[in-house]
Amino acid sequence: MDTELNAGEIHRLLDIEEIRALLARYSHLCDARTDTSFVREIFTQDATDDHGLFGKVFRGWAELEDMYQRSSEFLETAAHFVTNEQIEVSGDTSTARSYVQCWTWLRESSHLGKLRPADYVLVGVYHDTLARTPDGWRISSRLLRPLGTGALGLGTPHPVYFAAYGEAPVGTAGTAGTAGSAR
Amino acid sequence: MTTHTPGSVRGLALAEQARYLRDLAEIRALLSRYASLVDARDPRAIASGAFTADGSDDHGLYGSVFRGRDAIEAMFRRSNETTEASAHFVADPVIEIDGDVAYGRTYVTGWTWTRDSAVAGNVRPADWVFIGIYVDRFERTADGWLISQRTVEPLGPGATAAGRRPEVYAGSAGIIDEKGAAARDGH
Repeated sequence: MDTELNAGEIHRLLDIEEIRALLARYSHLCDARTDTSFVREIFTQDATDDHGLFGKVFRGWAELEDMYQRSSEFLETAAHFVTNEQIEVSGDTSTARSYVQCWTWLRESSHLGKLRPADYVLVGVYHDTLARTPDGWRISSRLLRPLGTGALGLGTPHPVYFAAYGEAPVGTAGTAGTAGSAR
Repeated sequence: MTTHTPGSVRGLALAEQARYLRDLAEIRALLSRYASLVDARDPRAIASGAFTADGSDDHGLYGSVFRGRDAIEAMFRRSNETTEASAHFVADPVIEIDGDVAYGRTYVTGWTWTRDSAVAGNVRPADWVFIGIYVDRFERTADGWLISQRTVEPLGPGATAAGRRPEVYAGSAGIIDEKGAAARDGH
């Protein structure tokens, strides 16, 4: 195998692996965060992030940190499972598409204890553009678009998501922990 | 040796870069194979197909570390007593390779159907979805890459994504009880 790959192919495969690792590292850093400085390890300095949250597109490290800070006010913790990566590299730029299922625990449910199930699961697609920087690949723009009819996989979302992804369909009203009522 | 990520391997010789890509593919395949072996519920196959001879597994479910293939086999045999079926989904692997050793952090959801609920029939929802991070040490062996040490960290407040943690795990000193969750929070 070693002799069948030329330098260009190896270079391209390493780019794809580095970008795949970056997408995974976003999950690990975002979910474990004690502060919002992780955005500087993932995004370019002038990156845009359109999560559909808070009614605006966030641009640059300071605004991105603000977006994650604001979401921390109602999120206790989350777990971003990123799969189905489709990564294309062209020189020093890349486009990547990946699915995300985000298991989410709200602060307002914390009285239900540590062993409570997630309040809801958000499902969506990240549409990313990436740039090769001196520090490695970084996301330069991220767009989150809903999967399903309104990005809600299971459970009852925080109201901020109704604004982002449409009115709550009839019959979705429920109590915290619906994602866990698997039986 | 230094630990390498896809971004740091570029300074090496081309053959080393190719070897790195092959190692990464094999380790990723090992993570998937582990899921297949566990969900086939064959304790002997899990122990010999995924772990080194002296490998250890601390799943946090039973309050102790299981070291060596016989101990790991026994742990999964014990799991089979209460779990009828499982489905493990892995995602977000972050892998670093250092020669013949590698380290990984990988997200997992483990969907579990317990024997207690078998009365509800085969087409029933999972009783519990465990959610956590596999923290692994891998070794290159004559049989390819295998897990030499696995511990599990919780995701979420207490490693439960959906459903209810089966009672069989209550009171364990592991990662999924209230006491363990509180200790992590420094209470």
